[in-house]
Amino acid sequence: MPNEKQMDERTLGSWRVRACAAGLCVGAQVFLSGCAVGMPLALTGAWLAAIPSLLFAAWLCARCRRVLDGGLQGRAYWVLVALTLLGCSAFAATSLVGFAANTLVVQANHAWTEILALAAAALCALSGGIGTPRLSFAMRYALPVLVLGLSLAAAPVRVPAGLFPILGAGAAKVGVASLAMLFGAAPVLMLTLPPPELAQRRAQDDGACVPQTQFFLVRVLAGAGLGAALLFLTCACTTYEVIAKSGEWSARLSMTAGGARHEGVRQMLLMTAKLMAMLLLAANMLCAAEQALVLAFPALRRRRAGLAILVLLLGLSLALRVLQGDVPVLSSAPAIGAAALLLGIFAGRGRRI
Amino acid sequence: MKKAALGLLLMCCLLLTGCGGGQEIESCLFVLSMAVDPAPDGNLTVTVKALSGTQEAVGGASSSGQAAQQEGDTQGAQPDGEIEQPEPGYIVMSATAPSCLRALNLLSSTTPRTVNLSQLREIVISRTLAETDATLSILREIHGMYRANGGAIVVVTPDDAGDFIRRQRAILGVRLSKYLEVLFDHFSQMDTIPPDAQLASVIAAMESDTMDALAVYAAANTFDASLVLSGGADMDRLPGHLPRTSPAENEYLGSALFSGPRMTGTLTGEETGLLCLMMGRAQRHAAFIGDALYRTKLPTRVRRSIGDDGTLKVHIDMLLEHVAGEEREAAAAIAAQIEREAVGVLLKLRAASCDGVGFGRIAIRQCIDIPAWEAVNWPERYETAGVSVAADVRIQ
Repeated sequence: MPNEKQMDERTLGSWRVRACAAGLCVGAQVFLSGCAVGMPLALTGAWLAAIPSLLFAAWLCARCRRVLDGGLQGRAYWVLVALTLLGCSAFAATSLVGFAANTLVVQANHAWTEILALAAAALCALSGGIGTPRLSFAMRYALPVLVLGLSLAAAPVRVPAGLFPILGAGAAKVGVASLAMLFGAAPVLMLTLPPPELAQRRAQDDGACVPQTQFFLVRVLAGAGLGAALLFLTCACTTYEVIAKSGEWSARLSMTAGGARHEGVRQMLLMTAKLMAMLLLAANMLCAAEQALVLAFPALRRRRAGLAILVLLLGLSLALRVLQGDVPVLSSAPAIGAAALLLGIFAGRGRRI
Repeated sequence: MKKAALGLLLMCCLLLTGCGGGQEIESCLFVLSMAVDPAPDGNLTVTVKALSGTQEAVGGASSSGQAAQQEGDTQGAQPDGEIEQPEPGYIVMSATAPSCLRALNLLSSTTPRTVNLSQLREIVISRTLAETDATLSILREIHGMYRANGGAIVVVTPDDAGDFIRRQRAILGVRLSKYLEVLFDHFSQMDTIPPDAQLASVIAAMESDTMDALAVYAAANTFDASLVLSGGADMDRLPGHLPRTSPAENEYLGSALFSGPRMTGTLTGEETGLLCLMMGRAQRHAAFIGDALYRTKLPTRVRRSIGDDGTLKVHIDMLLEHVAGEEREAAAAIAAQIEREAVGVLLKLRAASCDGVGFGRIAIRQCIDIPAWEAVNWPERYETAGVSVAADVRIQ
């Protein structure tokens, strides 16, 4: 039996894993939000529009800490958390499919790619919300270094054609884009939920051993900053005319690589690393959404019914993409941002909503 | 139940990983060179040189050409008395249609293979066509619809583009694809062809308001030029006029200048070298000045700016190391010569309305946002701007 000190170390380790996973997810989501809704609005100014997302992530992080301190939340709160995180998961899964179809598996059938992405996300989530954050933790240095390093190597950094004009499409459009991109911070909501392996211990020892806000804040901001840096690299190395004519969301995702598809091992590594980041985001969000749903409806714990429901909903959203294109998922972005804001306001107030 | 679900998901991952819609190598027609020429009645003739994969491809090329000719609009490659036979392992085909896309579709429908442009190395456009607004749409169609290799080099020729690629052979080495890669790398290192002449870069520059596109200029040399070098620089001429003999008729030398989507002028090989220098992209390590050989310390420091009065300014700070030959000219004289020639190149670019150096990228820094930049009307300002070059040369 581990002694008390060892238990505390394990507990801290679990929180570290959770915080690192949240940081990685926020970074990926900030980049995705820039490519999906920021660039069409603010063009090369999308990286500027990402800055409010960083501040929002920091604020949300502090609010989530209050929930962990034992703020009483009602069923509606957890349902809303679950739906918001599911929205993030759908966003990541859609990006994953679009990016893969635009780069690695150009000739593949889109429906099969979607089924594959869904199956991969569901498999990751089957570990019960423990394995995926641990994988994210294991890759907390390797993945950002790989993505950022290879993007730097692939992008024409020497000629930052998109750095000016600094405000992109204009102050008003950057403002609108920054509001639309707030949902990039939504993955922080997974920090309202304790690591599953600690849930039982916390039930016995409520509110104990939760690290300070800075513990989470540093990791979340590091992740979000990396996402914004990648977005900056994409915007700075692409002319605004190219962004304006890029059309598809998935095409913008591959812009960091200069649109080159046949550059051998280095390019393949970059694409694989990006796909990995998107898959981790989708799976982490799915796990956290399941945890929130079980908090709202404890009966769903049996036979993983919560996960089954969420995978079904995720599958439906991907099926909708086949029928209606990217528009339904893209138009849900402001709703996810608004829900995250609402949850942040009500977080830790100590009363039910 | 849980194990069954897990097994099913694992099966999905194992069975669906990229197997759907895969393409066999033998099922594709890998195009290495592509040429686009204008044809009567507003049509376009697209000629492709592709990998046949067999040593008996020469016979196959003519037979498939004859078959294609029977299709009406489509014309096959005909072995011509004046044009060399395609080399073994490669096939040349052409099709004529109202648009590039339809021509490629015709080629696909008359060839029992899927046309694949992922290995494309060069796109040759005839000068007549390049001087129209159609260039951009043609390049976009090739890049976007057929997912062509964005790194393929865009070449403009005053000759028939189809004949140009028929003459194209790997005179050194075996593979045409590698031969072309090395050829473009070599000329880039000599600064006799422009940087950023890749398909993706050319399209981006044509679509941009802050810069203009440059393509490689190339032509056939029939070797009837005088074998005597004039007093000027050896490379101060256009392709097709080099006094030499070689098994390769095609010469790649100089730049085709574009203003927006339309070709508006040319630069000789020497002028292209100066352009590379002013762009800060010079790669040439050695230079003959007079009878002396100098080694250039790279990268040469270049500052581009726009004066308060709108003058386009370039400052070149160059360090030369004398390697061989009689050192006759002083640093000041070399600097004056560089300044004079560079001003000539800038004036030539300005006359062609081609912002190849990229002054637009400097001008855009003065604007806070895109609407403000668009209100500047840069193309008009560029055409009336003064030019100034200052060179600072030091010899070790």
